[in-house]
Amino acid sequence: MTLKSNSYDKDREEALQRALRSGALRRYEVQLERGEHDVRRLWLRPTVGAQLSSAGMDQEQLHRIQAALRRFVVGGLFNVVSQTCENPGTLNLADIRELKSDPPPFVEMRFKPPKHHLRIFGRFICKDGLILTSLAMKSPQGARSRKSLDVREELKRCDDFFRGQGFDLNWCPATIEASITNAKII
Amino acid sequence: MPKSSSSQNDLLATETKAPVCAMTKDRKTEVIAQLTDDVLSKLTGAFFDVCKIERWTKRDLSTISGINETAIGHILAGRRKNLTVETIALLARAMGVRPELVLHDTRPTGNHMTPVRQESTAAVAMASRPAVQRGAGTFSALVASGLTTGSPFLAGSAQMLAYAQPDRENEEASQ
Repeated sequence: MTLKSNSYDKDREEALQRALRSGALRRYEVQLERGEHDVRRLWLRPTVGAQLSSAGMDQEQLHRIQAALRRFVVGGLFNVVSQTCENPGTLNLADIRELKSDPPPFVEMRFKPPKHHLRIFGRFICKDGLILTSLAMKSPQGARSRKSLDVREELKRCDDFFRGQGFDLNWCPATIEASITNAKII
Repeated sequence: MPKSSSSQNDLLATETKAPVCAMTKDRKTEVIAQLTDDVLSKLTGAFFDVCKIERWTKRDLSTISGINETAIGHILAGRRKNLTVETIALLARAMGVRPELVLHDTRPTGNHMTPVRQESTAAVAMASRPAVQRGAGTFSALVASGLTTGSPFLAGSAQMLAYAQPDRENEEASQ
């Protein structure tokens, strides 16, 4: 007898491989140093990677973003603010914030310093496996030069991508607690 | 009594000087960003704990540490550049954790080394040794044998650890 979860795992991995082969996703890989391991898996849509390098950020901020992504991959501590968090003092300090949506969790990755209020949106497709589908930032060139960030639009974009690639939302962990290890969730 | 590995390394290291390669500006920014990211994530993690367990706010931490409340906000949000050791120590202790600097050895070893010249007996002997025996001194040993690796030489990656151990001062203050 095949367990339902095993069949989910197989289908999920096959779908991920298909997306990688077709170029719809790119695995974010880091150069591991001695003693480090690929603990978590991170995939980016090619457009997100391209936007990251051309977002008008200085070298320092770009390196800070790369450092945060690297920390994710090597399994470093991540600070997560859940949907139910009632502490306003922590909302802007999270590395990952769970946004208001129906399950499975829809999240945004945030970076420090919040110079351009850059966020990358996505979903955990499995435990410690995050797919980042879109990047958005609040007015990098001034308050009126860019339309404001719309989370619902990003959620729709993420859902469309998952549907387009045949990623079943049932594969995703139902809660943020089940999505990530070595995390401080508040 | 067997010699410690560090003294063996010292002996090997004195024979030949390892090549010195200056870091590029880009690499400098990268390593600084990595350490800053690590420090900030740990401080923020400790702050999350303090919010959850003690129900403290930045104002409470300001009272304990003497660091301005706004400054604490800037530090945790990553807006404050060049954090001093003093600030990290005070803020961490205020949050009931003990900060510590950990230096991870990143010297290339074992499979991470580039292929060495086969004609060298020292190289063959080194390659035939089990990986467990090849410790931090391997790179120095190969350099001492007149071999080059061509790998970037960066001695150690630093990481700040903040242990979630109750701070005695805070315990006393809260009583």
